Amino acid sequence: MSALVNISNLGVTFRDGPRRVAALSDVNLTIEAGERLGIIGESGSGKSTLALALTGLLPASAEVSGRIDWADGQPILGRDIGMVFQDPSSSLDPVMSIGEQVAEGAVAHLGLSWGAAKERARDLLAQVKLPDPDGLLRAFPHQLSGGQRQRVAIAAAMAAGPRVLIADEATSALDTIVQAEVVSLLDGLVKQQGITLIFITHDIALASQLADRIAVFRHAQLVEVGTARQVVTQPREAYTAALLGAHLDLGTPPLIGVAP
Amino acid sequence: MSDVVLKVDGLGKAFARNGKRVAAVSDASFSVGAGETLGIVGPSGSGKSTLSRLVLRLIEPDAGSVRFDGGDLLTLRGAALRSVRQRIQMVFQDPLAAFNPRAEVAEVISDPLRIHRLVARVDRPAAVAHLLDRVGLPGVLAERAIHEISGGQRQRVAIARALASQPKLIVLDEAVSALDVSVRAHILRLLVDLQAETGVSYMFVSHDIAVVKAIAHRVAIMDQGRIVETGPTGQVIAAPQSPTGKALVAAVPRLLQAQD
Repeated sequence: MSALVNISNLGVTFRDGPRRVAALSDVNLTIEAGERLGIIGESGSGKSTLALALTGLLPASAEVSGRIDWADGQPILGRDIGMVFQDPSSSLDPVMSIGEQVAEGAVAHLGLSWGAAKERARDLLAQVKLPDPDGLLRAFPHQLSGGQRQRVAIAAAMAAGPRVLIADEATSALDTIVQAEVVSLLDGLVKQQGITLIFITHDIALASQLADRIAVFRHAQLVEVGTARQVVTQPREAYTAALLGAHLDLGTPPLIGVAP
Repeated sequence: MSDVVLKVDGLGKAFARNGKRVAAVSDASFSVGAGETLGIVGPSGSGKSTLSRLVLRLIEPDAGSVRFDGGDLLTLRGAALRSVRQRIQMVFQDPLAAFNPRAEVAEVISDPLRIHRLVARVDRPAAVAHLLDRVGLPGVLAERAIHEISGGQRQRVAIARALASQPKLIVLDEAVSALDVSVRAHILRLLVDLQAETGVSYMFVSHDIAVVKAIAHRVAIMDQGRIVETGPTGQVIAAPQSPTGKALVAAVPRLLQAQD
């Protein structure tokens, strides 16, 4: 594998009244081309700030230090990087048809005509396994369920054929059944197309199922990074072990005794 | 089984959508014993939240009966209803939305003490301090505003407020779903300890069957407004009978194991 991007000594601070608060501090991380990287952390750990820094979406008030070096030059958001956020109701435009929203990236970045872009949108909607892609082109977000909307958001992120897909808590608002479907969809898409996936989540088990490597963030710092297997079975840092200890799945012993 | 605190029979509620009646809850029947936790699990839109709102009588059912603490909850009016509300409390997913963000913690917790005339004004600060202590919060937090404290602290305040009127039943609707995993573990432990101390019953609504497994003695699985399966939690999870039960169990993210 070759490096897609080298992050060195990255620091990001935001202003909070008179103080400056570090959202990322001295982060060093290389993301390999074609890998699936899980970014794990609790609220305020800096994991979303990392996504914003990589995509150039940091607000003007953020102060950035250190370097982000892309192997093939600074990528363009929407063309080279697709982004999927937690809440498709706020990332999709409620008054724009599904067809236009998915086609827009292909028109803007691939220079396709609207007609050709709509055909591409229909294919993408089929790829994200939405029923009746033809009919959907003319539908609006409010007509879809949360899981369907997130599939549309994924299709829109894929429209210009990006090399990198960043999913920031993209399944956190979905119920577990739909979450499993969307994760399997993402997994299939990135494998099939050789896309680098950066999967940001608070759920370490979910990351362990999907990712090749996991990076753990806490309090603006990168705590540890390793293969998914190493991080979840042999964590090097006490914080990672604590996160694993707090994880609940069906193998966790119940907290309660027998029924009264 | 021990004393039944809540007994629901044939409960139904339909909402109008585009001129059609859509059943949000149909023919739901279940009971919750004293000191027992009943988990209600289901995918998005399965009717879990509508069911909890019906039990709280925040909305009125179209059909069925709800018996609480030996009386008919649905025929109560005025003062009698208010008196029962003292014994059924609720904790929601987002305490920032549930409370006035500018209210002080002390105010939020002492409201039920004042409204239900449980504690004289002069004794309320001590009662608030005691409740804060029971949910593991320092007394100094009493003078802070709701918006100034962390999400985990806010959910503890919500639990303290629910406990204030010494309820027999607390309905918790996705009460730990928005919390970080380490905070979630503490809140679940707190709920279990409080139940052991006070014998309070919980109706614990969640989309996550792994969380329900940690805390619920019995579980009811919902899909499309109906309860499709009920039973002791361990038994249902080990051998789910309904398709929805099977799907919920299969969808739980599982940590990668060393032998995988």
